[in-house]
Amino acid sequence: MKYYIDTLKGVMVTTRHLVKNVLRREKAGVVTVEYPEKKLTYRPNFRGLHRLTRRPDGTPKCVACFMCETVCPAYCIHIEAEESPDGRIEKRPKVFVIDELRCVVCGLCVEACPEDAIRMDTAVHPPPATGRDEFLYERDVLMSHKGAGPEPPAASGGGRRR
Amino acid sequence: MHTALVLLLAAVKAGAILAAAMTAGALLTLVERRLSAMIQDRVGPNRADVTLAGRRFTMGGLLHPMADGVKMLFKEDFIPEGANRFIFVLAPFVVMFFTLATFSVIPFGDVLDLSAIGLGLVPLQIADLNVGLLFAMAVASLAIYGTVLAGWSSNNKFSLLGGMRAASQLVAYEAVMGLCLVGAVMVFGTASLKGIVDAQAGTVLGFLPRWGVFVQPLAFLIFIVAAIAESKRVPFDIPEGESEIIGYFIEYSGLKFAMFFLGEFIEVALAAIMMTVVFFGGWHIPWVDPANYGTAAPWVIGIAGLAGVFAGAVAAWGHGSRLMGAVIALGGCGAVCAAGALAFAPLPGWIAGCGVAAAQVLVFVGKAAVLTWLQFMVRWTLPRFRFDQLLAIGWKKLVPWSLANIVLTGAVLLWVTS
Repeated sequence: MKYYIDTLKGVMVTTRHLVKNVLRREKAGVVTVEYPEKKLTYRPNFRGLHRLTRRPDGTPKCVACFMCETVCPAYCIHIEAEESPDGRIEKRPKVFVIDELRCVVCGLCVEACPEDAIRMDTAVHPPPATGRDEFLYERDVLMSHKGAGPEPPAASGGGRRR
Repeated sequence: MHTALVLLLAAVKAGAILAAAMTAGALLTLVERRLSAMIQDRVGPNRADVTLAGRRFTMGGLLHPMADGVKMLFKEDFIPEGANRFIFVLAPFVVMFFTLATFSVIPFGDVLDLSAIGLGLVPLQIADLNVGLLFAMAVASLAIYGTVLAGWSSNNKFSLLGGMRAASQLVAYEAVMGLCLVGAVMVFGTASLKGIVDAQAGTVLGFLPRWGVFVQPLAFLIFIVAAIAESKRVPFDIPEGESEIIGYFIEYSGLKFAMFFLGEFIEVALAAIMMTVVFFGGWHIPWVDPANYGTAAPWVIGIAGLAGVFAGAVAAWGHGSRLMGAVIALGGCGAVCAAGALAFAPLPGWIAGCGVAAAQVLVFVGKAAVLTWLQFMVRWTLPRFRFDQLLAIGWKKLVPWSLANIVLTGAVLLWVTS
């Protein structure tokens, strides 16, 4: 007999949740975000897909110093340098490839960059693809990504966002 | 009346009840998932959709049973190596067949007088056996063979163990179920389900409906436990134990697995229906004398319609399913209109009779729905029993109680009649 009463008490608890959730779902305990329809906005320091920032004339800020490639713990960055036509800048990247499948999203490349040339402020994930090759992001693709936050001052160097 | 007409009527009734049972089983899979989600503060399945004119319609997840059915249909139909192919294929059919066969003796409503249009008296029941209760018990216990055969024929020791657990559990609770129904048969004086329902009209002590639950409360408490155990669901789901202890249908896939699964949900509905028939007065409208059902029917249909409108409003407002909400609300409004017509319009007697029958079936389905809901709530409230606890509850608690119930009922009957 006691067991029946205890079971009924338990059923009351579950019924309370049920009624609460049926009648007013927004205020009730449901924390699920129905993803494709609703998307959470990320915090500003979220590390998303990489991008290469540009100078005002559209050329990459990157000076092919290899700092990011050196610091990368996953060895996912590949850079080939070439001489820059601009006299004040020594080098520029001829090839700049990030393997987003190998990337561990640690953000060390952003920390290491002396020129504020690589950033992870796009607030998006690498989109799904059908082959591994499609996750090799080339220089021009990386340059085409847009930052999600406000653009920092155009002056080169020291533009680290905190 | 012509024999062919009788056969045709029986076939129509059987088809309607079969369709209703299968639909109920499919819908209950969705109800189970949505209900458990609501209980556990989740959202539940709401993704299956159709796109009409560029808009997505999910209908509150109502398409999930259909999507599941299509998925199950196209899954690989796997038969393990070394399995007894014939019995392996037979087992799910055994479960389904005997579960559905039980519906043939369930009275869903009173006898409907259609002699005005040449159909004679139509009982809303496929067959009124004078041993209907025994037939239901016997056929339901034959369904156990399906689980045991499935466990044995799979050539898998885990499924064999699951089948053995199912056998010992179901035998224990089958005995309990039979014994606690003995008291009900003693009180109502018949084993025909129609007779049992008829005996539950009127009131006891002046204010309680003369239902089995009020004249046989102990039997009801025992029966609901046994019924949940019979349907092999939590807290008695040791035969299956999908999540950790492997159950008897481990080797089944595709549509055969779906048949076991669907059979289980139909068993839940069947347990609720048996409880409705034996303990909740079947299709009787509570507190209304059977002679006055003609005046009560519009009220029942109208209240059901208003409930439909309310459910539609909740569905549309709370869960973003505008289409389903609109459909339910429209159906409810239609029912309200029908109730109004039934109450005020001068209708031929047989249409009014159909209205009464509809009200009876609505009352029946409503009672069964509440009892199904109760079973679902218990299923999502309690954790699973240990196997020794389960057998101890069955043999050491419920069997003596139901025996005591028989003795008590006999004593009270003697005292009342003498």
